[in-house]
Amino acid sequence: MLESFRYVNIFETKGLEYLLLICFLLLLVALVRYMSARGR
Amino acid sequence: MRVTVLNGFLAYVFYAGALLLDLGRPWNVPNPIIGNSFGLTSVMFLVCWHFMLYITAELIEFSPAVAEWLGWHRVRRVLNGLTVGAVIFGITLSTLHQSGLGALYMMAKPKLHPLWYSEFIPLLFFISSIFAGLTMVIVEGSITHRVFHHRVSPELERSHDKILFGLARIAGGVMFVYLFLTALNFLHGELWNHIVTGWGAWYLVEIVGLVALPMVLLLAGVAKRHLGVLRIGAGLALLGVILNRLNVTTIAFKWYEAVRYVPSWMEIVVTLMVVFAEIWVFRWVVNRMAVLGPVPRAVSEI
Repeated sequence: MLESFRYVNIFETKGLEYLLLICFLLLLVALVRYMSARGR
Repeated sequence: MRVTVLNGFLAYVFYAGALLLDLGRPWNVPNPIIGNSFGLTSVMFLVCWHFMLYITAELIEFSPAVAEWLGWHRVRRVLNGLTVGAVIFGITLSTLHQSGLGALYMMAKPKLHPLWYSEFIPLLFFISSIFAGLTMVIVEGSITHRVFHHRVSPELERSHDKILFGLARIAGGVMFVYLFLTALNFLHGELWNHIVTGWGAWYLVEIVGLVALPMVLLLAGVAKRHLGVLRIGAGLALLGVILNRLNVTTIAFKWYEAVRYVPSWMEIVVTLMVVFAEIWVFRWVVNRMAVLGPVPRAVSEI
């Protein structure tokens, strides 16, 4: 069972979920900067 | 503040009335209180108690306005002292019962379409209820502001737009979090194969058309200081939450069955009757009590 597990597979390692998290964090930073710039 | 509390209070009272009409057997209503079969194992027990306590908390929050109207100045002072506690209690209760309503559907995994079922459904219900409340205040506040323009106090008139921009900013932020959790849930559940079906298209209408798009409109409305864009965004967001609840409870529930539930004309008429009766009571109260206008000077000086 262990042999079939591939650490490079983005689906099996839940890598997509980590990527999504990073994307949203980056978007959040961009959003906060945009809103603060407009609010000033 | 008062107009929002009044709106929430009436919505809950009339919703309880509508539930009575819908479920029937009203003699069973006191059972969770008096102990004739408490139903402790049911999520409905939790929801029922939250519902009753929340209505009571909102009544206490609004009660100073009633005391002012009746001229009970000493009672008003006592009730005014209770309102802060009632607000804190009300917020705590609403976080619990919104997620409790979502928790009801955790038991229905085989019946609910996978795109709408999630182990995190209580959390999603709770977060969506936050922006539903905020956008409801924007929509309802805008309508009330126009309809009862002659009753709005000059202070509220001046601060109205600022309040709407503040609410929209928070609602947009919460929708951003909600979108992230929805996307995470989608990836975690590996729901790719469902998205290419008709149900997937319907799901995208809800998430993209009525969550992502209104979020952009709300934030753009705040950034560009444009009330029109903001109001359209709030309206769409509200439709999105209504559609989400309809999808979970009705449309995507038992989605595999050939014969689907469609409300009869009598159910629609009864629902409209409840909604219009609520609007009528709202108007009656606003036209008599200090809901939008200033607190009478004789009272505020006590």
